[in-house]
Amino acid sequence: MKNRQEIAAATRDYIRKNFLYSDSQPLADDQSLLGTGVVDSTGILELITFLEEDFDLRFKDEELVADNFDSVDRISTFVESKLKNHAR
Amino acid sequence: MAGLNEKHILKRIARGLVPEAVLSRKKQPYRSPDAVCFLDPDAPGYVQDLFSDAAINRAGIFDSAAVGALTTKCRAVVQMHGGDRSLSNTDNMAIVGLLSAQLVHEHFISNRPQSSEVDITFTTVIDRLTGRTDSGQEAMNT
Repeated sequence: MKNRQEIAAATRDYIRKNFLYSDSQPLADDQSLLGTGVVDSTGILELITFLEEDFDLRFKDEELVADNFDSVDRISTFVESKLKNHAR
Repeated sequence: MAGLNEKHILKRIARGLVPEAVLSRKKQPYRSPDAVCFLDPDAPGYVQDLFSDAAINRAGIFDSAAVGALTTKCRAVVQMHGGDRSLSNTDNMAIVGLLSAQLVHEHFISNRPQSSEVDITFTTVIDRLTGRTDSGQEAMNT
């Protein structure tokens, strides 16, 4: 099972390749992805699809909220907890 | 104008001629053209040319690696899902913005019309340091 750091690294890498298109753009782990325009409402769905495929997860509709996906930190915390529940 | 009710007078004039549903309809957002038509395999050749590394570097406005990553991703998304709902708004606007800037550069900077045939002579010279103004006898009425 991937740990929080690995989840964060994979998420950062995906965001760089698919939304920032650059290695030099700043991307802080606590940066609001929607608030700073890194992703928009369709982009967040792309990101969620990536997370579901990459970590073999299914998110419930009620989990699809900004609290869970609006930053690299929030994503890695949420995905890690999902993976832990899944493994039980 | 009546507050934010657009075309207020036109709507009053049209009352009785146009259905009420149309007159009272709210303003709807509309954006055109969409990026999808430029990412289709049938898109005009100039689009591919203007997005090429060579053209991006020639214009020197955008980073060609980033443009390459954006166009590759967007083409793949359009090919996989089709339709204009598949691209995010941000990517959609980025593609249209890039293409517009590249077109402006191509037409008005790279290939700007040669002005050598038009002979311009300045007949009024204003020296901003001394404030002296010389007007030639053939000065235009400006």
